[in-house]
Amino acid sequence: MNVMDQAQTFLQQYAQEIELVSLFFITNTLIIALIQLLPVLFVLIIHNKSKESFSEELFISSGLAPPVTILTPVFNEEALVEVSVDALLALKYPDYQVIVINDGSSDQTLHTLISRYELEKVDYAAEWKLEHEPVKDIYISRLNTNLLVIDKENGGKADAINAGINVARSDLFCVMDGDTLLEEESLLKIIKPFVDDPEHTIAVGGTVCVLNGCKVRHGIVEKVGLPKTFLELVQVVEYLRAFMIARNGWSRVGMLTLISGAFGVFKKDIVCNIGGYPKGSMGEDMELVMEMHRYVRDSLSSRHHIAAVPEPVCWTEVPSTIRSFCNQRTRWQQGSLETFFNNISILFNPKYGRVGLLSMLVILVVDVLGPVLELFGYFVITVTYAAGILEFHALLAYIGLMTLFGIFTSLLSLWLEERWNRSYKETRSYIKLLFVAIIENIGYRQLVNLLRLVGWLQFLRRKKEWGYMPRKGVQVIEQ
Amino acid sequence: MEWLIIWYTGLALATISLAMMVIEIMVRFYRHKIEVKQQYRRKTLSQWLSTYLFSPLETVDKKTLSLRQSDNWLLVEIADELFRSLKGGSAEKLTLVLEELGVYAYLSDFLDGNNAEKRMKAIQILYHSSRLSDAWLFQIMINYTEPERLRFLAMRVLLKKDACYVIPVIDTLEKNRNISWLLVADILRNTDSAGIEDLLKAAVHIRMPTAIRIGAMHALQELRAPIEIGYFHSMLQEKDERIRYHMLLIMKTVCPAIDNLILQEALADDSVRVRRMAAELSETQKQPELINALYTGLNDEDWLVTYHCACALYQLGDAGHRVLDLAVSREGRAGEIAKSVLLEQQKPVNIEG
Repeated sequence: MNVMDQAQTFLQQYAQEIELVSLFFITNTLIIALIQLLPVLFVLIIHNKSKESFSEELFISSGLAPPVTILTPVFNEEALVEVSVDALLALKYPDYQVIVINDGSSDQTLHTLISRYELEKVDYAAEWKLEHEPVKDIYISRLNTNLLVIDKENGGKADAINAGINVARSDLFCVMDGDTLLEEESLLKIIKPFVDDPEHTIAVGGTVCVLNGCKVRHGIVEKVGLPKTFLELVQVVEYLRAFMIARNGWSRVGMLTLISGAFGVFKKDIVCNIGGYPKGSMGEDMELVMEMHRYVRDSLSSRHHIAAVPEPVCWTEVPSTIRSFCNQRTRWQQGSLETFFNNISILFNPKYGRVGLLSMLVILVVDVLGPVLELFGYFVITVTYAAGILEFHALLAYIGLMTLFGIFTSLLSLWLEERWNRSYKETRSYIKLLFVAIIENIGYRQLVNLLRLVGWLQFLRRKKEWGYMPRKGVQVIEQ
Repeated sequence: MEWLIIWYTGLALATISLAMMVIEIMVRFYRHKIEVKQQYRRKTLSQWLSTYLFSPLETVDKKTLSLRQSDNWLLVEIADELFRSLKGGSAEKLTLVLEELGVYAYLSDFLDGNNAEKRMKAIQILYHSSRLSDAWLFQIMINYTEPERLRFLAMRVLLKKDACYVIPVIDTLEKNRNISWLLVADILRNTDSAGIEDLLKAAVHIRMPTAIRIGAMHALQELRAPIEIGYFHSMLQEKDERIRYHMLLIMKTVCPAIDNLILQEALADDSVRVRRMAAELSETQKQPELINALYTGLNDEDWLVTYHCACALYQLGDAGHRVLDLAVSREGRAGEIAKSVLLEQQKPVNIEG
């Protein structure tokens, strides 16, 4: 009897058990789909108070807006740094300072900054509370004293941010990537939750949109457009789903566990007390939020609030090549896994409230087990069908249901985005997104899961690679 | 059987998704069509209305007038925009033109309708035309079934009309438990100097919700109200840290010279936020009487308090420099901060422009 015959006999002998296993995978898929639908329900049901509170103009006219320090780490970004800093200095906010942290760039980034903003070396007093690589010099602009530049040895993004936190003198600081573009009123919008509830709000995340395909002038997105390639287009739908719906929904029930590193505002005292931005982590933004949750539950009152701003406030470039996309997704998965296992002690721990009881469970089901079970499900169901254990309609039900649930969630997200923000004004763009929302479930979704599985393997092998993302998706109209 | 159930669930979802998609595309097309049409009509109507503003009313063509009346909502929107840009005599003329067009007749329909947007616009136009009765506004303000923004608008208009409404407005705001102090300040600042006394009463009233008190304090600040020193002293004794903090924040803009006793007291406050603000204020005050309090502040546990105290000492001139030198010679954390402040302040940056 050859191997194939043996396998056939085995499958037929345990047909009933295998059918049960198949049912388990289908149930698991259903659970994941339902979890993904939950934030949609929260968004629809729970009223967002801050949306209709006070006007942004009031902030500017009253001078009551809390001071904020914007921290922008830059590494080898000589081409874009001028545009980014110009845009930051033109933000509509009454009281803010911009700190650019040159994280040991080997190109002309620092030189560009020095000549463009007439930087002058200063002895700047700072509280060197958090650890980081040595700071070489601190510069202040003679053209605009709100601009400060820290030149330090290379130590990575988290290290650079920690240096910036030490130098910042305001209670609130804002972290953003060097390549992120903000809207003029982004800061006004993101600060709102801090003014609504200054005692309990400890961090706020912004809604990030895809910059690829947009037209940019002087660091401001002038015309919102869609990218051309499928890979970028599908990421537009993903970002809409993740930011407009998922983070917004989870934040409304106090279960937000992630603030994107692209744009977020934090309370300085709390971040300093937890030791600053976590270094050496692949998912430092998620790790930071989890640590903040833990810290406030352990040391302060339980009534703290980590919020997400539902309006689109910043724009970032997404990977446009398969290679950089693969790098990014495997890194994200490693980050999620690292955060989950670092904080596993709070899983099902009632002391940590909804975060311990529910958010961690969601991470476990969706991020930790989700990709493995889904891919394994495809394998088991196909094999059992091929062995004649599972009928055709069962196979169709499994694949069909998974696809349809995915389509349903994506379309619902697009529908909500259309109702609230209508970022993509052209009907043609909208139809394109609808089309992408449907076909992303066939092929792309499976690819992402595969990459997450690779992320799992790299996590187990403790392999840490950041990769490089070439930038080309933005059309700059004029410098 | 269970497979069929699952299969049909999926099919139902697919149908819903497709239906949503089709409806959304249809809505998009329909909306786009309307928007293009509206843009054209808005332009012509706006031009037409503007010409009548600069010509005698008798020339209003009755035929065109009846045609234009079909654009009630559009006309209201344009009128609202025009009112915002017009002043004095032109606003009166616009009122007359709108009267002639019969706009006020259907504005009352808007006020009675359920559309909050239309009601807001109607209130704004009636307010600009000085045709809004206080009784109406009062009704809107106290009616809890109204959208909040409409009620807040009614409050603002009432306060602009007469400062006697400060107390009723505060009474109504008081019932809204979760209101932000910034919103309260935004509403109350619409009053004029005649409302100062009522605002002051609200600000010092201990049983009033903190958000209302802080809002009233900031409204007073906006009015540049002359406030007695006793008011600030009493506020510093408050238990609520937020009141103490906002009191200092207000002093920063209202008082060019702050009593050194207030600052001394604030520098020794329990709250870090209050101490930080006091230390920051001390920097601009340059009062030699603060030297001891600032020296104590150099040993504060909070870095920013120490930093601002050191800066304030530096601003005091020779006396302050001697204290800083003393701190530097004693080493420790305070000495380090004093040293870095001395270095920072000795080399000021030459600012251009």
